[in-house]
Amino acid sequence: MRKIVWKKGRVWLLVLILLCSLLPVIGEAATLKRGSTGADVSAVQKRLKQWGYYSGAIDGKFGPATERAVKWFQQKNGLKADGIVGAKTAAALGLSLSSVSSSSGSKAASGDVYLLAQCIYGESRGEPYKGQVAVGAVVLNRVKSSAFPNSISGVIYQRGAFSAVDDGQINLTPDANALKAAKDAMNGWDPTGGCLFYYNPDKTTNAWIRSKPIVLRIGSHVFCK
Amino acid sequence: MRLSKKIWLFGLPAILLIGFAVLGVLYLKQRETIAAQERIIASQTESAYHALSNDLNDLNIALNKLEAASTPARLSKSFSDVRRLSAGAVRALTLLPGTCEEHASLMQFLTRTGDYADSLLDRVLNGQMLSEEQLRSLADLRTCCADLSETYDGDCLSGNFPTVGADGFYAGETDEETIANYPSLLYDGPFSESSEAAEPLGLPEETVDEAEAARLAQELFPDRTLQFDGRTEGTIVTYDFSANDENGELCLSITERGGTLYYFMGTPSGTSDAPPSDEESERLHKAASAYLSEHGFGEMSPSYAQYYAGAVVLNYAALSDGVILYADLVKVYVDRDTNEVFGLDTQNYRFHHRPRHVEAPALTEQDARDRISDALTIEAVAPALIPKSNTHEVLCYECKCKKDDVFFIVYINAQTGAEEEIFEVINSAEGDLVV
Repeated sequence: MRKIVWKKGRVWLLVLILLCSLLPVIGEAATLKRGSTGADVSAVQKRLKQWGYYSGAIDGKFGPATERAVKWFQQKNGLKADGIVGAKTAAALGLSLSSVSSSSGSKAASGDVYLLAQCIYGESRGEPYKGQVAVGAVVLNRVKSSAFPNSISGVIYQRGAFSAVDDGQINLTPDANALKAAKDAMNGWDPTGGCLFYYNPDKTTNAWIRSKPIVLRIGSHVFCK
Repeated sequence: MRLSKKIWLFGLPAILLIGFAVLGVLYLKQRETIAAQERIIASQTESAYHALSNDLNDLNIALNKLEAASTPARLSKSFSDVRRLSAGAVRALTLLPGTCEEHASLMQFLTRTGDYADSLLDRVLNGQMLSEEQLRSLADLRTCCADLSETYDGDCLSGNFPTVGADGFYAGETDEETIANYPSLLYDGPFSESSEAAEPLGLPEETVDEAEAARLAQELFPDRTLQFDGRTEGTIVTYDFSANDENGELCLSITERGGTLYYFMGTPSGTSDAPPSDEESERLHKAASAYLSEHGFGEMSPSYAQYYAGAVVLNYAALSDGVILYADLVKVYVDRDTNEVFGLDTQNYRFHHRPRHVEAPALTEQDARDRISDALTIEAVAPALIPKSNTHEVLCYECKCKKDDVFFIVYINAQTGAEEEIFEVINSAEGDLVV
């Protein structure tokens, strides 16, 4: 019976834990470590290879060989040899990787580029790279249009303009891809041919936007003027 | 045993009571927070609505004063006011609830009013008087602005502010009829109707079909297996192709008109982040120039460069009889590690490039030099056609100048001698920024 009481007590403990879970949770800082994949890992591998620490393939996969190379690099450069690429190791590698940089580091990009990258990341991460540039191009096409505010921040924060602003995803830290896409878009690459709108046909029921002639499709987004 | 019973009898209700009490307090606090936030949003909306109403009222007054003004100084002051107040009204409008499409027409009216005032201000500053047509347009703007001002002023007086719905958007109805009655303005400015509706001038009328576009694309990239992704029905219609293999991703577009390469973008492998040495810069320019020459771009003049993500973007403007055509810009992407051209963007070039008849300048190069501020040291002067909008270009002398360690580019109108533009060149780690 005592055992049963303990079991039931655990249930109440769980209730209390659930109540406590209403409290905000503090997130962890992003790092690259064994198991990480993507463009950031490729950049680290490439730099380690250039400097003679790594001889494996530049495949964007953070495996044992990459981890060994990172540890060797850290040892040689007076860093804690834990095989994890955090802000300090990234800085020592001379890389400004968005996903591993500290908040002050990521501000190295100019305000407008960074804000555009945040919008791209919030709106289109997971889309093909061309589709991410296209989202940036739509923002910039709006800046150039008389029917929209004439600044990047004005366009992005215009009420109801972007769902990433409404749901707060605009505040996520953009990755290296989104930052590069923002720079490519700022440089004038416009894969949309001058589009001012886009939507995801699987998620949008708005009749007005659906009535607009489609200019092109990239990934899950449809772009229109 | 007895203790267990006590726990069940008193402990359980006590825990439940505490749990519900905690939930109740949290609920009340959350409701309080939401109410406070709603009040903040409502007050911000009202503030923006008042600001918009005030700006429209002042805009109306500034436009009225223009009717009474007769001296260039007074006209300049009023046009500057119109420009400033239009920008203020646009800012206020962006803060009001409603979707961007609901505000688009009023935003367009306000932006074009400011842009129009800007173009007329230029005219007045260059010693020209306003034409009959321009005076008529100003009268139309006054009428429209007076109506808007009255409407918004009335809303402010009656407390009829736009409300925010549960989804955070405008909860009222949009007035479609007001939208249709804004006057159209004929002028040369970046936001003018003619500029925004401009058609590409740099492409032949003959079109190619998808099969021909595929053949041309394959000819440009014989080692890649290209797939057709579809058409982009943009201002310039293109056939889009892509490849994704061991050489990385590649996307490219061929124009329907003329079957020319519109853009392509490959996967760079460079990682260099540091500013390039002069030697590297020269090597990258050489690679880009050779590519342009091989692909029939004729005589091009190198302009600014930007370095990021292991690559450089080199901008080249077309040259015609020694005159730099800044609208006809091509961007060449070069990998800093391999010196390979991995991307090309010809959008501006295809839009604008055509044979130009450039009128002989009324001013000599020396006349332009004489008009540069004495505070600046002139380092180089060259004739250049600079775009003022999609449909309007001005022949200038491009004067590269320096004051202490600060670089400027001053454009002197080659016909009137006016200072058309002044840019400051900022050297950054990512290249030269022109602001």
